Amino acid sequence: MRHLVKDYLGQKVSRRSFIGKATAAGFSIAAARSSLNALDPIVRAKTIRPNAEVPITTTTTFTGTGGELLAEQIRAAGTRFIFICNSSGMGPLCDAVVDRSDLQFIQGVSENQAVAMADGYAKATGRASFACFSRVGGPIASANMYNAMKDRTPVVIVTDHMDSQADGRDGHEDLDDWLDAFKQYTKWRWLVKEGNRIPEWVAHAFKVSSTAPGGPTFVRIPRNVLYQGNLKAEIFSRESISVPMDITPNPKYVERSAQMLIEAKNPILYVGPEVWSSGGRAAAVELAELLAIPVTQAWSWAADFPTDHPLYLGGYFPPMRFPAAIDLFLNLGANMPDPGSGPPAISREAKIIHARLDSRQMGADYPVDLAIVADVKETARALTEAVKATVTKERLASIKQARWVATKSFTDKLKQSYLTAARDGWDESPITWPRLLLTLNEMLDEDAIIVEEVGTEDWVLRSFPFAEGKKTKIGRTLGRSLCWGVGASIGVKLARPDNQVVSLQGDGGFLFGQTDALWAMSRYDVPIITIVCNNRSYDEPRNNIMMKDGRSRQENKDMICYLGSPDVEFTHLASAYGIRGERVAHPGELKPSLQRAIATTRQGRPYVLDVLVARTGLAADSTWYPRYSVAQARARKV
Amino acid sequence: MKALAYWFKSIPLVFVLLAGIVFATPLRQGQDPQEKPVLPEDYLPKGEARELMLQGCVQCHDLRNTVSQRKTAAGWRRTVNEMIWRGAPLMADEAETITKYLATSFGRDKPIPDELKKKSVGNKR
Repeated sequence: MRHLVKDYLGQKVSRRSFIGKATAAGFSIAAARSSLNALDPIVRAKTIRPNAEVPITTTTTFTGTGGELLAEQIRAAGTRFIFICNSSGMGPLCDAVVDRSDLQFIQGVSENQAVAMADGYAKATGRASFACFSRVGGPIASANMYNAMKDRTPVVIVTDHMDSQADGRDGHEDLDDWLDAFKQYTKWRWLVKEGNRIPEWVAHAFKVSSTAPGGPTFVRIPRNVLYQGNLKAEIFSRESISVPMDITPNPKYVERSAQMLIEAKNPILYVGPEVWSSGGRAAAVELAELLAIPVTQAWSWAADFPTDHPLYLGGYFPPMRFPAAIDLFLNLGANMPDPGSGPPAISREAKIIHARLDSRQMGADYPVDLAIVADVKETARALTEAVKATVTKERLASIKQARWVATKSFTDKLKQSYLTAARDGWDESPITWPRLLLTLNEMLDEDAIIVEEVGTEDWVLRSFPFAEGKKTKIGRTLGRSLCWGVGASIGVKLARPDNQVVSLQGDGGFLFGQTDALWAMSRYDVPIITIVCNNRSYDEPRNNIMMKDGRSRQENKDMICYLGSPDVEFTHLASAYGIRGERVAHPGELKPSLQRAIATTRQGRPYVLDVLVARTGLAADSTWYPRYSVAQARARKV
Repeated sequence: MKALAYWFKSIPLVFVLLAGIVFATPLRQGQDPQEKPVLPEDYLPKGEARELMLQGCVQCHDLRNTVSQRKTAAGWRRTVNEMIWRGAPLMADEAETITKYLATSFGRDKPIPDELKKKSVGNKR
C-alpha cells in the first residue's frame, strides 16, 4: 500500500487504477476511496505548487517606518483595498500608501461602516480583508466586529494606540485595557510594542483571521511606534502564513456515517455557513441527491443549498411537517438549531451526525451520535463516495426513489402555495413584500448578488433562486446587529465589480447609522441599487412584543416600533450625498423605477429606491407611539 | 346564530370548568392536580383545519393570538397568507381550509371570552 500511495502522489497511477490495485491487494472499495480522499489535500498542494522542490519565498526584508512596515505586510498578505477612516494615528500608513499605488484606500466616514465594507469584501472573496482606523474608533466599530465574529468572517483590524511612553495612565484617548473590551468580538487581539515586530504581529493577525473557522482579529500599534524610522523587519509572504484547513474526515467515521445515512428512513440534511465558506455547496447537493435527503437551511449569511432545488425545504421550523418522524439529523456546517426556551428542536429519538470545522458547539447542547471535525466540503464528498462504495446502485435507487418523489411533491406544492399567497394584495399600496421581492427577481440580472439585512429571511429565500449560475445571497449576519448591510454591499461590489449588486434594507435597519455608507458609495462611484423596504416600522420587534400578549398588546400600544413620524424621505438622504433616487409608493411604479435604477448603475452611479412596503402582523395598522414634545415642555421659548 | 351555537358547542368542557384561569398558570392552592390548564388550542373548534393549524402554525408561535382575535374573512385570509410569506409550511388548499375555518370560528360576530381579553396587570402594592 505504501508503494501504491507513493505512485499515486507521484502521479504514476490514476484514481481508478489506485482503487483497482488496492482492492486487488485485499482492501475494500470503501477503504480505498477513503484513502484517496485522505490523500487529496496532498495532491492539491502539489497542484498549487507543482514544483515543490523549489521553495516558496517565505519572507523578504524591508527597512522603513512603522507605517511602511505595516503597508508592506498587508500588501504581502494579499491586501488590495484598505478600508479606512479618518485618523491622525493612521498618518504613517497614509504616508506609506502615497508611494504604493497598488494599495487603494476606501474611506468610510464611520468606523462601523469601514468594518462593514471590509466584512462584505471578505464574505464575497472568501479572503481576509483589512480595515484600519483611529484608536478611539473601536467602540463604534464593535457592532460589526461582533457581526463578523458571529459569521466567522476574516477581517483584520488595526488601529493606532496611545504612545508607548504614555499609555496605561487613563490619559488622552486611552483606557486601562483596550484589548479586553474586544475579547468577545475578536478571534485574537494584540498590542504591538516593538516597531520591528509590526509585520510579525500583523501577519499573525492575517493567519489567525483567515484560518478556518475564521474571524476578526484586532491589532493596536502605538502611534510613536508607527512613526519610528529605519526599522528593519521580515515581511511574511501570503503563502507562508496560509494554513490549509481542507481537512479530510477520519475514514472510520465516514464509513459509520454512511451506514447511518443508508439505514435511515427519514433523514434530514441541515446545512449552515461552513457549507458556503468551504465551497461545499455542490458537494452537499451531490450527497443530498444521492439518497434524496430533504434539506433544510440553518441560520446563515449565505444560501448554503440551492433554494430552487426540489429537495430544499426552506428553514428548519420544528416540528417539521416534512419529513415525518426524522430519525437522522445530519448537520453540515452549522450550529445546532437553537430551541430557545422550548423543548429540543430535534427529537431525542433521532440520531445526530454533526460535521464541521468549528467544534466548539459539538456535543454541547445536543447529544450527538457522531461528531466529525473536518472540512464540510471534504466531508460531503467523502460521505458521497462512502455511500456509493457501500451499497449497490439498485439499493441506492430503491432508497432514493420514493423519498425523491415525496420530497419533490412537497416542495413543489410549497412553492406553488407561496406564489398563490403572494397574489393576495398584489396590486395594493403600500406594496406587499412578495410583490416587491418577486418583481426584483424578475427584473434583476440572473446572477445578481443580493446583500440583505431585512427582518424575515424566509421570504427573501423563497423569492429568489440562490443557486449556481443564478443569484447569490450575502447576509443577513448571524449576529443581526443592524448597521451592516449598506456598507457590506460596497465591499461586495468591490470584490465582484462585474456582478449587479443590490442592497436590500429595511427602513429600520437603514436608520441605524447606515446613511454614513452612502458617502463612500458616492465618492467611489459604487454602482449599487439600494432598496429601502420602508414600512415605517420595525416589523419583527413589533410582532415579537405583541405576541407576548403583555400590556402593549392588550392596549394595542406600539411603544417603540412605529417609525412613520417623522416620515423619513430616504431619497433626500441619498440626495445629500449626490446619489439619485426615488420613492416608490404604488406597485405599478415598481418596474419603471427599477429600470431607471438599473440604467443609472449601468452608467456607473448608485441609486436608492425608497419603496413603501406594507406592515404585517400584529398591530400592523397602528400609527400610535408615545408622544412627547420638548418644545411644549419648555417654560421659556428658547 | 347557527355559527355562534357551533362556537359555544365546540368549546371544550374543560374551558367551562376553568373559566377565568389564565393560561398555563401554576396550580393554585387547593386546585385538583388532575385538572389540566387551558391551552390556546383548546379554543379551536374541532375540524380538519384545527389539525392543520397544529401542524403548520405552531412552529413559530402559540395560538393565543389567533384565538383571541376577531377578523373578517378577508382579514383572516391575509393573515394566513402573510404566514405563508413568512414560511409557514401550508399548502394552498390547506390555507383555504384554514381561512374558512378561522372566518367561521373567529369572525367579527364572535365574542371574545373574557379571559382572552386581558391579563392581570400585576400586583399594585
